[in-house]
Amino acid sequence: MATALTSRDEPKTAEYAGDEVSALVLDPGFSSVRAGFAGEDTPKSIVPSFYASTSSGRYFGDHVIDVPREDVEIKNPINRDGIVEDWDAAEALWKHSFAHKLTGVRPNKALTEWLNDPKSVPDLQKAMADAEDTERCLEEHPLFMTEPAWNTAKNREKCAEIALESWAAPAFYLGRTGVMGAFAAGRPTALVLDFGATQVSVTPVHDGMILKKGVMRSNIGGNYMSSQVRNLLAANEPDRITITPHYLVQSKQPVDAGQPANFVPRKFPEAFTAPQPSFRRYQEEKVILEFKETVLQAWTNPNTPFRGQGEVMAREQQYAHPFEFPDGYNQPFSTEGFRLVESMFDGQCYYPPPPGSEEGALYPAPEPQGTIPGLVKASLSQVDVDIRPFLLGNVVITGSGSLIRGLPERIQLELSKMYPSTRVRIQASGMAVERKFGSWIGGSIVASLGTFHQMWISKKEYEEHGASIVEKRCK
Amino acid sequence: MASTSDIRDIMNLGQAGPRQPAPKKKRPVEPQVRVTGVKREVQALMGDSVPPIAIVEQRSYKSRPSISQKLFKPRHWEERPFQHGARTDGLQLRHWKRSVPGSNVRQSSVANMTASTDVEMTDEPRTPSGVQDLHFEEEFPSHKWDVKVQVPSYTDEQYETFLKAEEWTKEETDYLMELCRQYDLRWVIIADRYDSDQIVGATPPPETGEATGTEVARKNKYPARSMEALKQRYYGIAAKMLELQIPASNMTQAEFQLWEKMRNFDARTESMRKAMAEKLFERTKDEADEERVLLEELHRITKHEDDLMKMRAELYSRLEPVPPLRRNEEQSTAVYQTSGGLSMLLQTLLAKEKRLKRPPAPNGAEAGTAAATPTDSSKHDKVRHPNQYSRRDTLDSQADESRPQKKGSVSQPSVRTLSPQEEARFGVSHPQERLTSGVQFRHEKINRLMMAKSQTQTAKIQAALTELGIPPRLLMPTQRVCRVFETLVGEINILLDARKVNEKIATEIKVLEEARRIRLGLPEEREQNPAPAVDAMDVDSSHLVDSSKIENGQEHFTKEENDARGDGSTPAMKTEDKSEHGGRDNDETTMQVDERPHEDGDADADDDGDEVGPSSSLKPTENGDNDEEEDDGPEEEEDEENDEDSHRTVARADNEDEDEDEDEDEESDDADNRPQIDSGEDDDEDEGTSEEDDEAEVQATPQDDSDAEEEEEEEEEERAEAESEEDEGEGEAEEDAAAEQGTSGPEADDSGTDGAEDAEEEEEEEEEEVEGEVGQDEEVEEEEHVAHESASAASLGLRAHKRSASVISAASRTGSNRSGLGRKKRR
Repeated sequence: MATALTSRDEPKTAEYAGDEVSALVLDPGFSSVRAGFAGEDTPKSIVPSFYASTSSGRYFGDHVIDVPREDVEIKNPINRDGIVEDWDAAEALWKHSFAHKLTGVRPNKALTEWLNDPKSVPDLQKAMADAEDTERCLEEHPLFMTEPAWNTAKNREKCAEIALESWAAPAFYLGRTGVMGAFAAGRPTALVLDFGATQVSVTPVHDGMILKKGVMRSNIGGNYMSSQVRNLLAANEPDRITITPHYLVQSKQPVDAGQPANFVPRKFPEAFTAPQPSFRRYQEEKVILEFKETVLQAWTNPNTPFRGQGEVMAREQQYAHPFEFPDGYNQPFSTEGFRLVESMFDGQCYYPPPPGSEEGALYPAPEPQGTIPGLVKASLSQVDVDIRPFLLGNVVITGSGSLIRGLPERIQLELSKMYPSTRVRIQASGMAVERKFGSWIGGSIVASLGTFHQMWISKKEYEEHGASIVEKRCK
Repeated sequence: MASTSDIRDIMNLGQAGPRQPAPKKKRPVEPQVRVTGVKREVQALMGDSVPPIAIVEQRSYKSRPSISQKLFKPRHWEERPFQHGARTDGLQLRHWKRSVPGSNVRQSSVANMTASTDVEMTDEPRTPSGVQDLHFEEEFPSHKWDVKVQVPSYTDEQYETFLKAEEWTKEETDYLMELCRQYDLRWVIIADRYDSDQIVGATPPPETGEATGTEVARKNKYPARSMEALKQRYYGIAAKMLELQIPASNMTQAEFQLWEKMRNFDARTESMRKAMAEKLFERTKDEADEERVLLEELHRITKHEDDLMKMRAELYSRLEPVPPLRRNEEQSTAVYQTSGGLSMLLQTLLAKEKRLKRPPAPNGAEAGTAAATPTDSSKHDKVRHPNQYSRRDTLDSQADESRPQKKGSVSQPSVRTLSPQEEARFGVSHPQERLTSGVQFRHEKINRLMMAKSQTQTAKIQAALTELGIPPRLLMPTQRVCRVFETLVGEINILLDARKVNEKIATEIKVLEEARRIRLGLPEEREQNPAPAVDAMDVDSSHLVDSSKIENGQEHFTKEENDARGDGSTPAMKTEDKSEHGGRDNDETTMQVDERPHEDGDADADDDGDEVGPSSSLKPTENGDNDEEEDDGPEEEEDEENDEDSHRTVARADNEDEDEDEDEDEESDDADNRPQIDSGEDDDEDEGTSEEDDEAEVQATPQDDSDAEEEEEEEEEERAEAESEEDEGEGEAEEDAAAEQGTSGPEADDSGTDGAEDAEEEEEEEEEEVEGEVGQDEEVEEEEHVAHESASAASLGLRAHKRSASVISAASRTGSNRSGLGRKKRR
């Protein structure tokens, strides 16, 4: 391979067993929907799963939903288990994710040419059919979708129905996020730790198939972490920190650390109906996301446990990360950043919610079996003992939640301590994009494989066997 | 400064006027002084040389592509529909394919190659001749990867007849087979997905039809199954189906192996293995660390094993007798019996110790390390060797007792009274017999014991010892070992004497036979097959069978070999053929044979119960004989004896009419001789027995101090001894034992050591070689004849017979002991 490859050179089949059929890969999650063409290395379209719902309709897209509209409500079609609840919204959202940027909307003659000229309509029936056809946005693209391992059979069938009937995809397949995460790391057998927004899940994958009994999950994902940040800010000494989202700040003056914020709040017109609380919360979440990206850090000292000794050590200046809120208030955070992450490993580091908030009910302190080591342990105990060492040798960490500094190292430490008899190897890509879109990338790899094309559920098969074929095929 | 020509150049305009000469002028090259001793590169930097970058004036800044536009054409890509080879539903997917115009020579060959399949792949060949696909699908044939595991299927009848199992219903089995097919025998996944609730739904339609009625009831009925259970069921079915398809005899190697493997699958072993693997997997950190440390230790040990072995070998070589030392010692124990001699010894020992660079551990009193406690010295006792210079413990009780006291005076002021156990441990003894003063070595005493006899006798004793695997010089001559060794030597002496007598009798009988033959004028048939074995047998048969029936001897021999005890009864059936004399004789023997069981029983009783009784009752008579014969000289040398015997036999040979009665008389005379010879050992034996008693006491005490191996050795010897000891004074038993030993041990030993032995002795050995156990029995028989007139003598013989069995076992035990010794030596 001395010579550099040019675009003219076709890769050799030994290197590339691919056969690209311009399939679409759709990887819906609680926080965002990733869509793109199979065979590419990153999704082309990333749309937040949150959508703005106003009286006039739904708004999808990153910037659209950030606009403070009148009486706007931010919704998510996916519930806190990562399962789709609102199918209408989900269908619309998903369609938006690819149709908006990738496949495009078919030209509708009825709209463009005939609208003002009814006489030119040659055949009304045909025109109506054509107009309906525009709905059939995926006619040329097989659709590869991912789903969490704990998805229900009914939901899977619903997915197939939407893809094959509503979107008229020629073929459809459902892959598990865990398996896709393993494929993205290039491993057919792996223990996949997926740090999602709603759930942190541990999925044992053997030969490209999940071991259902070993799938363990716990709601200590990104949302839990955000809730912890809220609790932390509420319990801040001497004053509690309130998050003022960007849209409420007109202008601000810089202040010293720990000093009260000096900012001019944004004024809305008199008749303006303020957005719903969910809008503000969504905006606050955006600030918290930034906070998490800045402050969170995993405790990776193997000799001292964090609780107790480490907590004191972490107060040192070198670990401090200043964070400025949208209103200008700023404060360095050092030990808090460690403790927040530590609560994923140790329930006693949990920040209790302030009295009167519902955070405690939604995100309680994780049980010992709900922590990351607990999940791994529970998962492995459900798996045949012969493959446990292999799984531990291929621990794949994926999901945006895993982008916390030092988290893979920390997990390595924990697992090595738990299983001293086997070698634990963590497979965590150093590139943030690969971890963020791990399951999408895995789907992209799988859907572009030449051997995979026999797995597709074709429309014909769906019509013959009904929706139950999903259960049979996508095992 | 940009000139107009530059602008023209930039604007790509033609020259306005005549082209100016190039601005670059060729400078006159000055002849450079060549500097030697400097590298070329360095030299290039000196002076006003040209810069390394070549400045080339470029007229035009963009070159045209070298390939002419006519030849260069972009490749044609096309999105084409295709069908995946492994699909059956006719799904058409589309992918982009590069097509090459047919005129392209370079790729045409490839295109032609792929042409046929391309036609097959594409539905509508839009470019019939000109444009063709490149090879793509061929390199990636879907059917190549579309492989399925062969999972056996069965019909209902087959299931009913062959595959029924108590623990599995057909529905469950069907479900399992379906899972196997579905997941390609990936057991991890099958076990994961095996869901007993799904069984009815998962079964193929005919089964579901049957099962729907009782669906609800069955859902709870099916138990969850472990992977091992699933595997066992599947392998059972697969093996059975394979067997049904191809009988085991027709299977190929691979098939047979597969079949064997499947048949031999054991779920229990497998689950045990899993359990163990799980334990291993769930080791704690400490356990893992411990294992790691142990493994390291093991590694270290194995690495240094050679060194250790070398060190050990060295130690053993030190324990082995060192010739120069030994010579010194043997010469000069008397020297050390004075205090001056002792101090001299101490000096030499210290010097020797320095030379050998022994660790400065206290070596007992000689080393002069007074700080050594009795315990320390006792530790050294364990590894002491007879001729080791560090030897301290002697039979001399005075010296023994005084030393611990002396040492005690330093460490502990008061005299310690030792308990019997401690005494045994530290080797303190209170012997009753008179002791000579000064230092004595135990092994000297032993040597004296061995040297007491003539040269040949000594050689024989040594041969016997070698056979037993006991070195002539004891490795660890503790008191007990010495005692036992003495006893052993005594036994050996007795045995040797008994053997001698036996031979003598045998020769005599032979001579008599010969005499009778001559007397009766029979042909010398015998001499034509003078095999020693036959001779030996004939000695036996001569008592029973008439010489005219000599040819029966062979028969006898074989029969007796099979059943030595039957030898009496076989001739009994041929009484009419015998002479009156022989017949009578025979009758008597048969009588004796008949009596034997009873007597055996008696002997048993004697053995079991009061063993000392008969032997003690016998002893007086023998001793009496002894006394009578003492005139002949009890300390007769063997050679003399032999001479005498031969004289006698010659004399008897003259007398042709000599009866067997007379013969027997003679033999009884010889038998009388035997104890007399034994009496030579009497002293030793007595000592041996008395010591044996002591030893019994010692044995009763725990022997924590003595080496385990030593102990074993001793015990085994003792066992052998203790058994033969009971019959002490009875020559017969010993004789048997001697014969037994002669057979059990390789003859080469004897012949090797006894180079100077008489012809007679050699003969005897020959005899022994062939005699085997038969010879032994025959000897017993002989004894019976010898003593058949006196009931006591007969019972004696039977006793001896009985004893021989025990001696056999004893001998076998000594044999095992020998192997133990051999092992020790190897180390």
